[in-house]
Amino acid sequence: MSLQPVVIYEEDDRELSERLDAFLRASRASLVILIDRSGQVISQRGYTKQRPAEELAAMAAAAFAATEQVARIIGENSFSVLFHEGEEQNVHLSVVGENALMLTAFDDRTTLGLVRLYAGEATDALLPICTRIHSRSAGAPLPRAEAGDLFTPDEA
Amino acid sequence: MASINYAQREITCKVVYYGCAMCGKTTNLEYIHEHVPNRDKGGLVSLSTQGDRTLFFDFLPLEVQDVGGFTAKFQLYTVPGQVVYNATRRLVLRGADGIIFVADAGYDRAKENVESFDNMLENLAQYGYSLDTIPHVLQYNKQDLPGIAPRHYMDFTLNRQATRVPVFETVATTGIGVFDTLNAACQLVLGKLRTA
Repeated sequence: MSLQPVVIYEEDDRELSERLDAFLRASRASLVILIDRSGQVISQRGYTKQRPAEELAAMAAAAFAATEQVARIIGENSFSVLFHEGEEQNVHLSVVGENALMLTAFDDRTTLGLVRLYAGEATDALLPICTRIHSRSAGAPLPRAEAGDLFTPDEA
Repeated sequence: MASINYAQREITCKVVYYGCAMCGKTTNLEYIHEHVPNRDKGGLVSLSTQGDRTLFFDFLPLEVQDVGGFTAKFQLYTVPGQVVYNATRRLVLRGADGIIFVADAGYDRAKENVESFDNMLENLAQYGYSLDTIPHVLQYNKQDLPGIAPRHYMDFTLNRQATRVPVFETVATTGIGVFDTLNAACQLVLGKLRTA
């Protein structure tokens, strides 16, 4: 695994948003998050009223990684899809190549079948973009941060 | 694995607290969570057993608004220290951009510290990582307790790479040195990104 950062330029960001928006419209899901396998949000569209996307992404990536180990123990390479069914909200996770996952949250306004159908199309469309952003170096230089502490404790 | 989003002007990095069981990794995150201003933090999530031992990991997202025109997001994780949970430790290390190795400074914990450090090297190697390429700092915790090993002894057992790394002597329960450790690790991670 490379230590190179994921580098997203404006054109990638726009293309990712378009693909994810198209998926949301077609599947009628409420939220979709493209997640790096290490648990970071690459892009998100839609709405979450509960937890912030960062938290959701970290937990989902961890759950997927643990499930992947379960797959290996029983002799599978991986599970390509993971589904969690709740009373009102459901979560569907699918693999986008080696480096990313797509999390979809949906309720009873749609069905698992519809989400699965369009998730397959969406992951195919996202894969070349994910491959691109995972395999290049940062071109534009990063600005130098101010010296000193990034975090200071609250005095209160 | 860090991400740099030029469209959103965001940098996101993953920093992992590693160390043997009961050395104070979760206590570091709890102290940070309690004392970082609200605007800079998300919720602390702990995936722990009923006995409050870390089962999978703790997770705390932090944010700094203006780092040279970018918002810098740091996602802090701890690993479970208990020996039996090595598979989950390895999973948490995936994509780490920086490591804070927390050691229990008690003389009688020297063996556990060294075993945990070597275990970390093994787990990093599984991903093709090494401490030569990942920014890291050392924290010698529990300085308030009796029977602690002197600094030079801790360095002799843990700070043994070709290049010595920054060390912080801390008391995580009261916060002494906790933010110093965090700031040093985060600055190293940002510095590494600039040269990536």
